[in-house]
Amino acid sequence: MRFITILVLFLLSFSTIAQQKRTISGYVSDAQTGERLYAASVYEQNSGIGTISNRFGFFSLTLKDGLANLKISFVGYQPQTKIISLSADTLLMFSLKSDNKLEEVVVKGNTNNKLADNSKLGHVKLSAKELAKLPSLMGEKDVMKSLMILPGVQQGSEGSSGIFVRGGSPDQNLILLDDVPLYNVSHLFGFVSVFTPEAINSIDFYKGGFPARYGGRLSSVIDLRMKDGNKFKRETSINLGLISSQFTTEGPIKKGESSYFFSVRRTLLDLLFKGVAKVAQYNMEEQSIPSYGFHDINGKINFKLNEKNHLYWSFYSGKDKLSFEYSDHMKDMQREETQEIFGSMHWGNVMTALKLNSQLSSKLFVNTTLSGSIFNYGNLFKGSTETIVGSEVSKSDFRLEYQSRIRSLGLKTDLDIYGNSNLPFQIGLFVSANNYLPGKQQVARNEGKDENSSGEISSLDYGVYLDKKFNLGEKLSFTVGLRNAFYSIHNKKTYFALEPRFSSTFRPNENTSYHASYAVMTQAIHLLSNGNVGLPTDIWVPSTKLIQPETSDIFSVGIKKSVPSGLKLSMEAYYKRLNHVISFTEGDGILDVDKNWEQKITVGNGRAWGLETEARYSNTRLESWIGYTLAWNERKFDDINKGRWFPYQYDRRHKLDLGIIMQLGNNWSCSSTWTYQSGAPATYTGVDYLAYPENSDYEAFDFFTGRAVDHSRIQYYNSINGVRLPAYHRLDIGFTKEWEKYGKKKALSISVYNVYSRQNPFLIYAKTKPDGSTGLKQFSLFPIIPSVSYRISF
Amino acid sequence: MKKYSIIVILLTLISCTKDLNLPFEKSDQTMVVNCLFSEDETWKVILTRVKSFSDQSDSFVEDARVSIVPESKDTIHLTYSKNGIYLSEEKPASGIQYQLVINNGTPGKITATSSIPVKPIISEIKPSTQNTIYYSNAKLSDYFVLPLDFKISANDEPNFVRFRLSTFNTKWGYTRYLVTKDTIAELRKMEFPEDFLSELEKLIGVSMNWSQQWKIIREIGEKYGLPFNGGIGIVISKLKEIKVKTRYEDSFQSGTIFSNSIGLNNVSKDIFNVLGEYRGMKDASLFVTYIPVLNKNHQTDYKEEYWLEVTGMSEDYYKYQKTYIKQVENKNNPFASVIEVHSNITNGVGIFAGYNRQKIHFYDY
Repeated sequence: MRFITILVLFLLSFSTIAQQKRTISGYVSDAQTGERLYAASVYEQNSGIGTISNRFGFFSLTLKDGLANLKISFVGYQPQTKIISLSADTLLMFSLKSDNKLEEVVVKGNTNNKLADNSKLGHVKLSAKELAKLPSLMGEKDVMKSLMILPGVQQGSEGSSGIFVRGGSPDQNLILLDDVPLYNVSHLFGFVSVFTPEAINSIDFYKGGFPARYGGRLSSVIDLRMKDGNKFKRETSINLGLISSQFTTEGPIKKGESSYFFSVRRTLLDLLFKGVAKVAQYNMEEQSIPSYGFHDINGKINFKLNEKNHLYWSFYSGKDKLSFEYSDHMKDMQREETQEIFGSMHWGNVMTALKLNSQLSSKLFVNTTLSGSIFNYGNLFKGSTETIVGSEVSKSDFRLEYQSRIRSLGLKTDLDIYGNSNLPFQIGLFVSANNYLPGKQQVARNEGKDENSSGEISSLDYGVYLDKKFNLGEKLSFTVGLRNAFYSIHNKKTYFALEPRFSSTFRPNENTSYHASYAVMTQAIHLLSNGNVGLPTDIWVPSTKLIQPETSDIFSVGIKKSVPSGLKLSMEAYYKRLNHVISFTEGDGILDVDKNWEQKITVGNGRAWGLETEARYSNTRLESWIGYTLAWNERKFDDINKGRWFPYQYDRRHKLDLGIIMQLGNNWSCSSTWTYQSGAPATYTGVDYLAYPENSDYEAFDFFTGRAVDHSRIQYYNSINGVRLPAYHRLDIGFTKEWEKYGKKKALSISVYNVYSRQNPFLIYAKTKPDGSTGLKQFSLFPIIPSVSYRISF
Repeated sequence: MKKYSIIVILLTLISCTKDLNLPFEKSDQTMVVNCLFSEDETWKVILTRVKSFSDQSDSFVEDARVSIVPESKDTIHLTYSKNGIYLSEEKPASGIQYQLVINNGTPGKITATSSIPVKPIISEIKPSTQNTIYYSNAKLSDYFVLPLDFKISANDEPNFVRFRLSTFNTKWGYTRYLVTKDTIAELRKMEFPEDFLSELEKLIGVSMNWSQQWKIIREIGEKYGLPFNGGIGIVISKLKEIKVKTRYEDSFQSGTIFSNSIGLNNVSKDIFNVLGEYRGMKDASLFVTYIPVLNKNHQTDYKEEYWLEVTGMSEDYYKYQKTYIKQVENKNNPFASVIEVHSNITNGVGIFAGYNRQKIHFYDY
């Protein structure tokens, strides 16, 4: 604690206010919608002093008395200049007009050098406008898939929206929606993410150089902000797509001050399933009706209390449900029997957050967030049979219910303290109370009942963070941060984590910058996964007395270079070390968490390193990029691979991404991406040996066929993940036409997924061939899929 | 599966399969050692080599020098019998550390070490008076079971144990079935195929229990294309039925057994073994299957004995058994991670481990 105290005093010393200086503070927002703009540049052109608006659009700039020539700019918006005479602290509101015109959508590259200067390596920021440009997939633009085209980011199996960042696993990504963590962000078993693109205002994606305000996960941060809603006029849009349809409305509650946003998205697949099933089984005594559906509801209200205080309330609820109903009626001379069975599986997140923004002074901004989040997974299987023999009626019924859940309640306060350097000192306090139910199962048959539960586990996470950026002269800047977290598990064990963060930038000239960063991350929550498919049945468990939190050290260095013609180049190398990573040793752990779950886990280490390069070119009509990643990713567990290092299942040596977004004229635009990944490592042996004969009375059955398998032989592995599966590659292309008629904005999107119908591996399994030899079979999903969607806004 | 037919059809529309030509690992001729020893049996070590899937049969190691080196006692040399089996007339003893040493002319001695562990003491065994329902995560199914509580104790070191359930049916357990010359003669009169009869003749003198007669005769019958009705069924009816007083080991039937208490549990989807570890004394709770076969009067017309098989295992045996079950249960499961079966053989694979076994009669139905 002494170290922290000294550090705080040291950092605060930078915040002393000089007598001859004045502070301009205020907000930067979108002129059309009133949405606050994060990371807008506020820059005094004579002195060269500037700052960046924070996540709520707030800025604070301290300048000397006299005339100030301010330039406010943000990518995709027309810059604004203002000259003011400074003689006192001043509050200013800036509204920037969008660059885009509907008549001709012009894709503009990032021509603002100042903004580029402030971006770090390992950090990508996407605004709503940039999201809107991305190619759609089956009529859906997907937030998570938009990140997969970045260097250092890999996707899992075909169709999965789980992402793997620099050697990490999907649970090592901190996914925040309005500062609230979400746990399962997939719909349709991973084909689309839960984030409705139209509801998202911005995404901050970090794969290194993590600010200290983020913690609790090892590999990446995906920080999404929902739209606040248009403060000036009401807008409604309807989007009809093949996978889902969506209704969005937003508008002012009090013009220019307060607004609302509401969006609902729903799949139509369940209606399709039911319709097909009913038609197919019309007039049949036996009926089997499957159904699958998902929905998302996003809502947000922002309310201006006064010039310096704002209240935000945001809400999200999403759910997937897979179900089937089965009924059968049988009647003969002796008896009549009616059987009814219902089964369902559902999972989803609910979150809500209440935020209070307060500008306590021109140099002090406080945001306090109270949040709650629930992730639920459950399944229900129930049925009844009624038998009538003569006048005797007998009934029997059964019910099986399974539930897994995480609940958390959080409170955090973030303070941005601005000093003379105009670079805020950020400090925050956080506390989160969590309750986990890894698994609970109830079974009942007629009168009998049985329950099997892992038991609930509670934890309390709390701590403090500090972050401060320094400029040392014109060319060198660095940010130091420290996050100090306590993870108190079930009142039995408290883990303490001290996480230093450091990043620096050396800029020898306007167009070149060198970067280095180091971060320690801790994760006290783990995902017990059933292989690499990313099913909702994967189970979240906390650290316990026996299972320590996972930790990582990430070190990266890189260079960025801009060429005035519009070309941007970047290269980054990283090394990541992971400790106490876990693996579910059972192999087939679906629905298998009980009191003994801690014994089914093995603990080991990981390491990942690689080189990421990217080139982007943009002009007024075209944006294109190429990204290449060379990476290694390994794991080591005492009881796997004889204790030796082996390639992790997400190790991909090469990854190449090509993308282009182009204006074609006549309001048409085209976007296309091609992605290539080396094949996944896998373990398939062609060697076995005799098991001890004592095991001969044992019985085991084939996963697919249910037939007895030969258990007299043991498969022998020389190495784990020693075989490479075929490479993954895919081309997607989309065309969009946007136009306006009778005051209504319309858009038609036509897209093709997997244009050349590449059969990418989804599952590989061994199968005995007709000649008796054993071979491998590849199961692929999603060949070429064309799609269309239509959107109308008014 | 019909319930999922539409989902399957839709998936089929958008999915496809194809063969992959990836190279499998080839056999590296690593030696396989199989030796589990207890005080009840003489030394027996089986030596083979790992085999490629493409090889037709196992390769037995016939020319090795196999020795057991007891702690502070004379070395025991095993002699080759057949099919890779090496034997000695001596029996292992509890509490002694044994080292297995194998020389077969190749560089790198093959060695392993183990001992017979302390025998667990089972006390205060209390079967419940009422059956209940147990839902098995492993099989996603429910079972009628009999709860069974008891105490298990050994020393304060980590101890490893396996529980299995055996039942002995007093109606069928003392009945044996034999193929006799009369059986063959009768079947010949009925013009059963000669090649079938000559294979059946090999069973003369073999004593079979009720389930074995079905399994063995059915296998041979199907091999020669005999139909079940009017073929295999007739053969079964011609077997000689005799009553014996001996409780043959193979007349005990394996029963399903469960546990979900701390430290004792089923492994993977297996429902025939409960494995666990403990120190000192431990309260144990098991659930054993309870399936009475009722006659027309809704009563049983036999007595069924319930026996608990308790195997004290060395740590290596425990790990071998646990990983073996995990691997076998997940064969061909594309969602399962790779399971390597534990081995304590230096410069080879397999198992060399001590154990003790006891059977406790705890309940009669």
